[in-house]
Amino acid sequence: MNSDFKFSPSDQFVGIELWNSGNGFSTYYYNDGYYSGDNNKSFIDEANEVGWKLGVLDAIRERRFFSTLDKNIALSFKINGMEMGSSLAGGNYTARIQAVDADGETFNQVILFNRNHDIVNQWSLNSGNINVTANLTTF
Amino acid sequence: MKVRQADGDEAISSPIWISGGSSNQHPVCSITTPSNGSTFSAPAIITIGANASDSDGSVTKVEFYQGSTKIGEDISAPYSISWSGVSAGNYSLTVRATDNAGSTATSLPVSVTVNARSITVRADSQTKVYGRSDPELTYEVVSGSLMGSDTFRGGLSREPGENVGEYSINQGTLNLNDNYIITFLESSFTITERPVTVTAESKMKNFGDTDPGLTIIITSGRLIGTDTFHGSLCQGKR
Repeated sequence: MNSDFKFSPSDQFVGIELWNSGNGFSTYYYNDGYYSGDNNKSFIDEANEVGWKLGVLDAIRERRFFSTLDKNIALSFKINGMEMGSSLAGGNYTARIQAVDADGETFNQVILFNRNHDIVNQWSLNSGNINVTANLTTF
Repeated sequence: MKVRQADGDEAISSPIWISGGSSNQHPVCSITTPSNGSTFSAPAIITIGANASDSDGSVTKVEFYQGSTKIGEDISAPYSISWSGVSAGNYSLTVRATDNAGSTATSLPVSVTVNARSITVRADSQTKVYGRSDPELTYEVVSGSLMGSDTFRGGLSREPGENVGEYSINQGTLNLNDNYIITFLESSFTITERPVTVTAESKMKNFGDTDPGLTIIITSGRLIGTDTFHGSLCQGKR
């Protein structure tokens, strides 16, 4: 999940939201300023104190991150069962892309890029719950 | 990998790194014409052009898609097709290039709009004499034109009524296929008075007798249905 520290973490923690608030990136979630009222703790300090530390460190270590304009999007991108951020050996590949928005907003496009940022595949759809699988014969 | 929502919000994942495997590079491709946001009039003929190349081989074909529907392919540069008979609507066009190793790549989509053609039709004014059958309701195209073998369907109708007066002629069921937007100009249907000539019949009486009844005969024209004369004759001295 993606988190802006305003909601409880769920079963899978793949990233943290650092900057946002409306369109202007006006809030720094990792640092709400150093107020004496909360012992000069940042948001991330407080998150760590309630047990999020392992999830955040795991996400950083495994390079599991996604950027999003909608904080309710939960996104999973796997190839051969390995989540985003993974490294794979050569072979045959099956990509699986899943996404859902807690607000029920619909998705209308999924695009898969290669290392050159060329489009490898794309899907047009109209669904609040993406579950796309594709066999990638060459990469 | 990127997902996009209907409101334009996007989420982009970190990558998955793949080492080894095929060393083949994907081809690259893009649509050169039409440009994104182009508009056409229905039924449209749209020439779709594309660039495609492969850094470590050759491009074997370029396929052209409208949404998920393949509308053509070209196997040699310059890559293009002519997409004809396109009805009014919004379309998303992409091309998919395949290289000599079977690797494929799909272009970014280009959106085009095909607008319905405007055509203006005006009803011809009509008249009839009271009691007669309606003439055929006709019309003419005063602006725009039909394409190819397109024809009008249905016909005009008029405001109901059979008495003398003016009625409107309306579009009725006259229509075209969805590639057209019809502007209809009404006209008038006039029912005029029916000429009837009556002649008073000559009468005579002997002096002192009661006047005979005064009567008429219709010498031209006729009455319609249950119509009757009202009022009465009066006599005068000649």
